[in-house]
Amino acid sequence: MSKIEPKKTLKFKTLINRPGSLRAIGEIIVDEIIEEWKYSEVVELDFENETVASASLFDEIAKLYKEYPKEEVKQRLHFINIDPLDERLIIHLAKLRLEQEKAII
Amino acid sequence: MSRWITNISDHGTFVSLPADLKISNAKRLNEVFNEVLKSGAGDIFIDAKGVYNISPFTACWFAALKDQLVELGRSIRIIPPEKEYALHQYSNLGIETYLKPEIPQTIPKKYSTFPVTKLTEPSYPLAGTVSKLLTERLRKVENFHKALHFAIREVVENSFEHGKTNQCYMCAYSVPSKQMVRLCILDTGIGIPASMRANPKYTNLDDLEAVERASQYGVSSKAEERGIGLYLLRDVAEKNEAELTILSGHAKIDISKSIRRTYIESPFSGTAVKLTLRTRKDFYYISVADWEAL
Repeated sequence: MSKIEPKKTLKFKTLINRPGSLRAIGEIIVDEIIEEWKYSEVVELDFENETVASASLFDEIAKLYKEYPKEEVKQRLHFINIDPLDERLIIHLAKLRLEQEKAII
Repeated sequence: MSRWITNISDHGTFVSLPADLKISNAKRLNEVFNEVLKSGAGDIFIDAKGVYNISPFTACWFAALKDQLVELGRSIRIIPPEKEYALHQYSNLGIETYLKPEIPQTIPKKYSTFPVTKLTEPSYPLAGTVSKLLTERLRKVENFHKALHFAIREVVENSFEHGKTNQCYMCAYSVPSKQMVRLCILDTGIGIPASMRANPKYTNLDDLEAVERASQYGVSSKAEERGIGLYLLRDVAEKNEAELTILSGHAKIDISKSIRRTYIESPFSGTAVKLTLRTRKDFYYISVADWEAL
């Protein structure tokens, strides 16, 4: 069995550098985060001070807070070097996703 | 035949444009666009002499018309506007250069302009580059630059993802004396109504309902729960009393402090989004929130 590392850092600029819509890229980033959680306690997404400003990409990340226990996601997914307004956008979208789930239940 | 098409002969089709070429005149512009494309063989001669108002929407409109005619093996010739301001905008917004690429683009110093440009993919760096260009001579207002960045990003992404097109047009400019940015993104894809009705949940929506629903949270042409970008853009427009116009199919929706819905008899086969944003002290982008609130 492989050893669980304390932390793994994913570099945003490497992840964004591929063809496809930003929602599709968001899906790929989320797949990578989920995959890395198998081997690392915490996944750090390093935005390298890049402003993303994309609702569709961040909405894919926001869905994680609905699909997994949100406290666990908050503990195990960290954003570093992120534009404060992008961080605000992720929180906003995650809140909308959680409210949407409550409405469905 | 439309009143704007003055003559069709073996030499081509002659069109006399209405004086006001802004999106507010969408009914007439759609009529011209549709009829010119249907008007048979030969070149298109467009008389824009009497035009007094040219906007980023007009620039995108001309570029899309030219490209569709070229695809049909036809060409377009234009008599430029005579009025000084319209002629200035005709050149400044890049229409002249788009129609005749041999004419170099010259932009006066008092403007920051992104001349009309055809995009063939939703280029990732574009939104940041254009928003920086448009805001560099405006006063620094917290959130304004980011909101503009976000608006460009979302509308261009939507054109490619939902419009099912491989090209769209963008044109924008800012006026420091008015602390204003005006931009238009236009595509000739399937349009919002057709895209929305592809979702089995929305097959019965008419064009006006489809365009309005597309700007509500979680409503999208896709079967999954999507549809967030236009909703947030609408929120920015409403809270800042900006002007957001969405033209698609038979629908034109103007969103500012309130919303105005207009049924357009002559449909626009694609989607045009026009946005005017002004800097203001308390410019709203996204509600302040922290992780504790989640």
